[in-house]
Amino acid sequence: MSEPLLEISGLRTGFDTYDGRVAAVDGVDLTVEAGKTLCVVGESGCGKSVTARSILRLVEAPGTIEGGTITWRGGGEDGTEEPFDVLTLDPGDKRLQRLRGGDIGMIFQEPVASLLPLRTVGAQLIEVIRIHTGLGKKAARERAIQLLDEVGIPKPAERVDAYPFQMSGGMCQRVMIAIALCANPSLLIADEPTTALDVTTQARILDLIRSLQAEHGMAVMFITHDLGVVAELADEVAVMYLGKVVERASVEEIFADPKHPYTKTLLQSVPVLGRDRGRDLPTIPGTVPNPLHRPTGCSFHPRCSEAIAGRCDLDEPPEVDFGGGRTAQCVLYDQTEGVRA
Amino acid sequence: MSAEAPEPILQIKDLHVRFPVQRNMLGRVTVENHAVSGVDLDLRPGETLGLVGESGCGKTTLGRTIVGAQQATSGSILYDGHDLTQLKNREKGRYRRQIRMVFQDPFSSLNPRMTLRQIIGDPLVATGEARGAELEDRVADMMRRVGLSPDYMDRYPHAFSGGQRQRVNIARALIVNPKLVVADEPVSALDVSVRAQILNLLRELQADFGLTYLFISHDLSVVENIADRVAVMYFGRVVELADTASLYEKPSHPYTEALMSAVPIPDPALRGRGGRILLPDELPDPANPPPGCAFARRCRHAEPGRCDTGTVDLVDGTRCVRRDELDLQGIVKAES
Repeated sequence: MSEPLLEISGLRTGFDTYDGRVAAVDGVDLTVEAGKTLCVVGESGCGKSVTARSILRLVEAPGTIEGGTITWRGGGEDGTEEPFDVLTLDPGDKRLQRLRGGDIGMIFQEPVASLLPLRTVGAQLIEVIRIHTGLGKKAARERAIQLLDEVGIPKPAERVDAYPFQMSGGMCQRVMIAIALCANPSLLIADEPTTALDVTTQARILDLIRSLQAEHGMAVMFITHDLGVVAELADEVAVMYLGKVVERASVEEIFADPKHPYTKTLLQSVPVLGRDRGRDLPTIPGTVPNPLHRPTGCSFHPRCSEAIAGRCDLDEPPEVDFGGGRTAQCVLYDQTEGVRA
Repeated sequence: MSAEAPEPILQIKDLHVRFPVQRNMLGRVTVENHAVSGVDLDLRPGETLGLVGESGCGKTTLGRTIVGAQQATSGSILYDGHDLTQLKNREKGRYRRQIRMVFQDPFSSLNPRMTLRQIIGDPLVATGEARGAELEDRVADMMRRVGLSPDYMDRYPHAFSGGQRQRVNIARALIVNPKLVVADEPVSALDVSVRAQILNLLRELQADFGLTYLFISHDLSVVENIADRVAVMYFGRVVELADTASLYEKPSHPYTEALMSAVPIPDPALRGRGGRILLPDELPDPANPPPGCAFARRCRHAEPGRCDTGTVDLVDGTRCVRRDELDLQGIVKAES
């Protein structure tokens, strides 16, 4: 096991709405190890994006982070700086500014919407480079061209002066990656970066992320709902459902031997090339509940085929530890009861 | 194609759709984008024809042209002995009932100010087919068929999840007993755990009502699950057309091969097993289509002088001049 780079513990982030408070992230524990890839999987509304945004304290009103700790251990040039809790930092703290776009780079789902339409990609790239490296204008421009080249943009010396609308979605995502990489981050947070792209473009972006990771040795926290992408990239996987991490395992374990009933049915219900031609798919009944009306007990119990009446609908499921960083929040594995080891 | 192939329910012949992008001072179109350029396609009664391709390949435009939401520039769409592109306005209503569409986005395709009763019953009211108690009965019946409780009839769309709204969309399409349904990315906007429900529902309704589907999607795994035959579109043309099994096991167009190799397989054991074809980004300019095969510039099998000149026709279900020389790779299968 390598060193933990980022440790999230008991994170709770909620949003105030007219109908009451929505607990988007409800006690999440996650660890990202240096140089490794953690994939966070879940459906819309499970809190995976809010978790990622909380790390950089980018949650906007009416959202607030209510509790938990986010410990960053990658501080300083050689990682010698004292670890600190991101959530206790003052908004003006230098360390927070260095974290955002410096030590931690972030890319988002809609690459075209994430770039300013009225400024050239070069200008946006150069600005971030200058903030984080202190290079002069000219040197920063050269670095920008070099970065664009590195992320596979053809004719970078010309493209540096292009506007986002002159580029395709895949190209814009490459620019976003270049911006995220400009200060040699130790962690790249990628929030569904390929969801809006075609499969052929997606394949090339994933390839790029993988090779950059190998080159720079950075850790990646990759958020997605696509299990194919998970199999492709992940070292570790965390499955989220309604604001909680319901299962955590290595990528091999999660596909070969999923523990949580949600993970199990999710893996079966998604059509897989060559496996499900023309056949009825197993389904998860119902829909993801409204987070305002979170079911009592285990939030998955109304859709779960293995739910135990009188137990799953009443008690919060325990977090069962299988060792080696593998956990599942489900009573089925509760050793104290000895139901199933 | 076998000799006993049934009479097609819909025949598309040399269909072209072009969009004007620039006009000169006199209002004459000087630059046009070719969205659909010369599509020939037959739909057989009772089948599901999958239509796949990347964004911008013209698959949605083709679907919209079939339902009459988009004017064809030239070519014909034959249905029941009539050319749908030449219909007079008053004849259109009749065919609109027989050919219906289900849209991608369940959030924007339902009027938020109408109740489910109004939305689903609207086609019946508009055609004057039913009203009063009969209207209510038919709406209630249709709601049950798509898995919605008729108790929700007087609720508004905002009260429903994406999957439930897509059921409303399907009910609205089916209430006038259509023969053909054009489904444009019907599950793409849905949560992964809900997709399977809608795919199974579409299959069930197809059997119950004897429907024919044109299923448009960019997701090859979904299309493989639901389609009997698949047409692959690239740059406004059908580049390959085959039975689902043969297309996925043994593609005959390099574009199909590349597309399939790009789909991530949910099995970590297959990671890095090679075979992934990374396509360069160069898409041709839709206002100025290149000669020869439109895919030639991105194709690893392209031969200069052969692939980039003249015209390439769809022969034996593939639009590739090297079809007999290439041995292309089908899908890599997951273990389980």
